[in-house]
Formats: sequence, C-alpha cells, structure tokens
Amino acid sequence: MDLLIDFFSQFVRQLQSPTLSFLIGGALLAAMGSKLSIPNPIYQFVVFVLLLKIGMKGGVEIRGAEITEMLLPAVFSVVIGLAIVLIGNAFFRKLPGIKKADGTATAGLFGAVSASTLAAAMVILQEQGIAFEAWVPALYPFMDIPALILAIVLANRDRKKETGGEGRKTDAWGIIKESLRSSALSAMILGLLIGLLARPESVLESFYEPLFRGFLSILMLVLGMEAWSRIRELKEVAHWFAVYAFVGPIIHGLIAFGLGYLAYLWVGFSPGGVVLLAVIAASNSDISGPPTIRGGIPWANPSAYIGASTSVGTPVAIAICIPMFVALAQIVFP
Amino acid sequence: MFHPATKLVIITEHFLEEKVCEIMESCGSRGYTVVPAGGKGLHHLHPMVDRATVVEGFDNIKMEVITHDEEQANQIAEKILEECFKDYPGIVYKESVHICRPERF
Repeated sequence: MDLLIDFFSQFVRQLQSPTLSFLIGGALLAAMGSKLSIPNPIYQFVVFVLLLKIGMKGGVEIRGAEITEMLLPAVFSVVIGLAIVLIGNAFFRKLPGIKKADGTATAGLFGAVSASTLAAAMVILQEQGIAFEAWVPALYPFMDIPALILAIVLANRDRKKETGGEGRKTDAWGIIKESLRSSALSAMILGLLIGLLARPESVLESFYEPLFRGFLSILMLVLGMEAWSRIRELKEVAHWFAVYAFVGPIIHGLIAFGLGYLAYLWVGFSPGGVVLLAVIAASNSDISGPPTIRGGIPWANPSAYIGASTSVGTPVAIAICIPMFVALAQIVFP
Repeated sequence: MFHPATKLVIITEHFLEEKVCEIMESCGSRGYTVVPAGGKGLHHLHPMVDRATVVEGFDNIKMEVITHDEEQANQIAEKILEECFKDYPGIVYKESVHICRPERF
C-alpha cells in the first residue's frame, strides 16, 4: 500500500513540472480558440536545436564509452519496435469495422518514436537527478525504423492477399533512407557525428545546453496546441483508435521497462536508461513517421493514425507515461 | 506578342511533389511552378496556416506547368492519374492560356 501511495505522490509531483504544464497550457489555449500561434519555421528550428544537442551530447559520451554496452539495449529496441507493431496489428484485427490498413498504419506509428517525447523525458530525468547514459537517445532509430518497415510490409502483404496478387514490394532501403533523412533524425545524426569526431564541448555547454529547457517548453506548447486541434480528426474515425492511443503507450512502455530492467541486471544498464527506453517505446512518431506511413500505405486513412498519435498518443506518452516510469524507477531501483 | 498554350494545374498533397515533378519532366516539361495551396476538398478543410503543424508533408500544393503541345499536357495528366491519384487525393485540370516569350516553354 505504501508503495502505491509513494507511486502516486511521485506521479502528481511530475505533473507540476514545467514540461508538462506547457503541454497542458498549449492544449488549453487551443481549446479556448486562442489566436496565438507558433510559426512553423520556429517549431522546426526548435526541433533541430533540441535534436542536435541530444545527438552531440550522445556523441561526446560515446567517445568514452564501451560500444558493447549499447549492444543489448539496441537489440531490445529493435525487438520492442517490432513487437509493438505486431501487438497493435493483432489488436485492431480483432475489432469489428476497422479497415486492416488503418490498424496496421496506426500500430506502425506507435512502434515508431517521437523525438519531442524523448527530449521531454531527458529534461525530466535531469530535473530528478536520475542519471542515464547519454547514448540512450541514439537507440531511437533502432526502434523507429524497424517498426515503420514492418508496418508497411504487413499492410502491403494484406493488400496483396485482398487484391489477389496486385501489391507493391516494400522498398525497405528506401524507407531507411527516408527516415534517416527526416529532419529530426538527420539533426540527431549530425550531432552524434560532431560529438564523436570533433570537440564541440565549448559550444555545447555555452549555447546548446542552456537553450535546451527553454526550447523544450516551446515545443511542448506546440504539441499541446496541435493535440487539441487534431481531436476533430480523431472524432471522424472509430473510437477504438482513441482507446488504443490511450492504453497502447502505457503497455508498450511497461514492456520496454521490463526488458530494460533485464539489461540493468545483465549488463548494468542505468535506471535512467531504463526509463528512457520505456519512454521511447511509449512514444509515437509525430514528425517523420506519418509521411513515411503515408508513402508506404497510401490506402490507409491518415485521420485515423495521425489523430490517434498526435491528439491522444503523444499527450499520454508525455503527461502519463514519463511521470509513471520515473515514479516506477524510483521505487524499483535502490 | 501572345501565343496560345495549355496550362495544366495539379493540386495535391505536398509529399507527392517530387513524384509529380518527375512525371512532368519525363514528359518533356522544361519548367513548372509550385506554390502552397489550401481550401476545402471533398472530405475536409485543408487550411493554409503558417502555424506549426508538427506532422510534415500533409499540407497541400498547387503545381502549374505550361506547354505548347496540348497532347503533352494530356499525357502528363494521364500519368499522374495512373501513378499518383489511385491512392492519393488530388485535382487536375487544364486551361488555355496565352504566353509571352514562347521560346521559354
């Protein structure tokens, strides 16, 4: 019982963090029909700076780290990404009145990863003083890309069966290229390379580090506004998408937390790393995943998968999953 | 000063831009114009906003290509219908226009 009370007091404390309050503030503004808007180029710049900083920090740390440490968490990331898609696919298949492709596309987005959710989790972990390996964010593509590819392969296989032979071959290499070139991942990879090969510490500490939290709060505001304004799209599709978008992130995160805990026992993965892995799993792609899915499964309804991820999945991952996994870590890890 | 020509207009989703440009070029177009577009379609409103949209590539664009040869415009339209608009939403129409400096088309 004490454990539960402890968990909930931790949980409530997390809700008051600046990150979450900006998210909720953004949603409230949009709900009230506020005319305030953050221009798209600013949003893109904010994402770029955040991801560049995350990558650079990771790169600097990988320089001194044993690469073998990354191996098990990276394998787990791939496994989790694939598992999320298979679970989601099986879930939607059991429901009446849902187009197969819509379910598969949604599961693909939830298997993929959100850079903004990841950044929010990193800031909250730092505020709590929970340490994590700086290379953990680099697990992002290991979960993101396999999930998107699997979803597209599954959807095309279904289409082939339905139309009797007429289906497209999935261009896996094309999807990998497309994902790596997306704005979020290319900023992170650029940062990783600069951190790894150059000596960016001075600019990292004097410019990128101090900007990080402030920029993240702007990003949260945008995500909150976007979440509210896309609810209308979600209303047009079956309610099951909203149910999945609410419950999915929590289950996906718990699976990853379990696997991360194994990595903690076996190879000394840090508690903060376990939380981040869980958050990466709980998150769903918001920036680059949707165009990839749109390109690979054009016959799926974008209102279903974008509505589910942007208006329910992302807020749940940030406002419920992050505090939940931080609280869980504070209880599980001594 | 003015010479008759045909203008083909395509309105569709942003991330089909590359594909449509490829088609136009493969049919021999030497140039085209692409501008952001917004409005109302069969299913919903496609607002043209400059606020942050988080999801990339789902905004709409309007593409215009001008050609001397109406047959070429027909060919481009046919290819776009075949290769893009079976799965994606979009609009294609052509207009008769009058152009200056015909050597540029």
